[in-house]
Amino acid sequence: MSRRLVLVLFALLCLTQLAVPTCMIRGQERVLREGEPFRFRTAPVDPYDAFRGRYVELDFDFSRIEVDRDLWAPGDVAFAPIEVGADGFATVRALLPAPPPGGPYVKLRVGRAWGGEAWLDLPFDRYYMDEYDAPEAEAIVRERTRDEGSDVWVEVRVLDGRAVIEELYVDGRPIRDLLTGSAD
Amino acid sequence: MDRGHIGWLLKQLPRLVDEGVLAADAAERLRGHYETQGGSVEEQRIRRALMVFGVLGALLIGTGIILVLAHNWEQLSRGVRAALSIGLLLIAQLIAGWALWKRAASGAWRESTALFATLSVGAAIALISQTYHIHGHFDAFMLTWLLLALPLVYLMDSRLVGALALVGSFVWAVARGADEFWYWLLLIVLAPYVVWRAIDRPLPGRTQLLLWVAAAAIAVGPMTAVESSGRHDEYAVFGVLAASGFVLGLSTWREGGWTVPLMIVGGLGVVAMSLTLTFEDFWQHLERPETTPPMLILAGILATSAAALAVLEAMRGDYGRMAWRLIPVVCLLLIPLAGKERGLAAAIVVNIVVFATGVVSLAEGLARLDLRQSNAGLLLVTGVMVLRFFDAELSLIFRGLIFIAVGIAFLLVNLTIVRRRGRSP
Repeated sequence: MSRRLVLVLFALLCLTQLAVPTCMIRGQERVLREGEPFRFRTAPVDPYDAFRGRYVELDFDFSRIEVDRDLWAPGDVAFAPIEVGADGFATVRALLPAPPPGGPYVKLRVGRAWGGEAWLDLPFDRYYMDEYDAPEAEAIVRERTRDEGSDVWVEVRVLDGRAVIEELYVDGRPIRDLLTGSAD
Repeated sequence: MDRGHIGWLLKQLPRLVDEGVLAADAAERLRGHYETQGGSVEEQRIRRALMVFGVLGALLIGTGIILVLAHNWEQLSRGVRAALSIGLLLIAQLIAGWALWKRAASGAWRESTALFATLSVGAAIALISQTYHIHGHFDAFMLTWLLLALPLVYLMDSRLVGALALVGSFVWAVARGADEFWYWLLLIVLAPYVVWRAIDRPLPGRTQLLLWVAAAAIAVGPMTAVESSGRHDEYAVFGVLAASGFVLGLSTWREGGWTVPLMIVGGLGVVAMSLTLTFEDFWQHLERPETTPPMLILAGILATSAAALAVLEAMRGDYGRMAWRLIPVVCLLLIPLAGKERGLAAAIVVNIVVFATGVVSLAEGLARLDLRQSNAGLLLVTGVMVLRFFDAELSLIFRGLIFIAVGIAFLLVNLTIVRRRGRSP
């Protein structure tokens, strides 16, 4: 291979390498800008990702739902219509093989499916935090939900099936404010 | 030729190629010659130190950046984080590009900047995932990273990124689970590079590293086909056995040089897996599946390839080597015997086959004064004997004596070979 060709190919590779993170940023920003906001009630726990650091894992009561037996297999792509209850909180009750014609929905994958139940692989089940803050946040939330029955929810923007987390709230205050408050 | 002249010549090479005075491969050979062989011993030592420190530096800085970013700097706004991830990647690319343009002849420059660029790609994607709370599966992240870094192996001629890509492919495929196809496709994509570099002479340390990793990547490859449900996991033993036999088979082409890692990794894989199959317990508890699991199809393909390579050995009259490459096929053919009733029969056959292979190998090694082969044979013979004597209810004294006898046999064989070598002209 001539040197010039190698350099040209290298430049192309660099552009591709730059394009991937750039597209990721653009896609996420667009959902945050134009997406419809929803609140999902959640209960967080705190694990660790070797590359991306600490995050708070969000657990939802609709992460396991009843489905038609034999219709879903692990890894299947599914479309879940979002329903908003009288209390203003959103939830997911069913899975569809194609996007619903009207109304908001989340595109997701089926994690496990067994005995008429499906475990959903929700695209908004991680909230990344500072490595020192994440365990603390988890402790505060656990304490509050146990003692005072606090409401914990996550605000998610949804656009064309893509969901992006905007903020994690405890009793109406963003989790970060709560941490600053506890430091005082 | 002093360093100044060599440096001048290396700088002239690209121009000579561009102007058509010199063929590209001839230029590459000249570069390789002066890079690895040129200069005094002192210069070679300096070059090696530069390589080691350069690579270690790039590795430490790259992984350090990943760790610092993983701290999750919440004070920074989304825009700053986005600029950081893109900026970091851009800097790494510029350094790599400069190295490729101005220092293409230097292995140390190419390897360390390619490594840094590879780590930066991963760091950039990870930082964005973190900023936007993208839950993204680990396997999806790994695959994106792999695909974006893989071309660097070829374009920057980086053996270390090649080794890293092989390890990354394995990690990705295991995380994905039940993968019997894509992992091998990734290996096939990397194979031409490994082969291209394997035929270099002399083999620099980093090429040897690449070869060891490549041999291991093939040998453990079938593990990626293990089903996430955990069913039929025990068939992975057949998979790894067949893949090891295949790796060993690939070493048929040549004696020494690049085939050494293949021979040792493949040989050890065959020893470990075939000895596992000498246990009666294994065969009795092996469930016969209703449908053939993908793992067995994969094992079948690899074992057949190994057997085909065994034919080459047989044509040369190397019956010991031939027997090693036939073990996987024989073990696979015994699967219909699995189960409570006939498991023992399968185990007995494997014991005999493994023991016989060991004896033939030992005898041939002795006849040809080939230490490696005779020791490999002894390893199989001893392996079977030791395992069976742990199995059987025999007295400690008897077992002890057997151990001593096998040990003496090892020493005598080596002694005989050394003596005969001394006598031969």
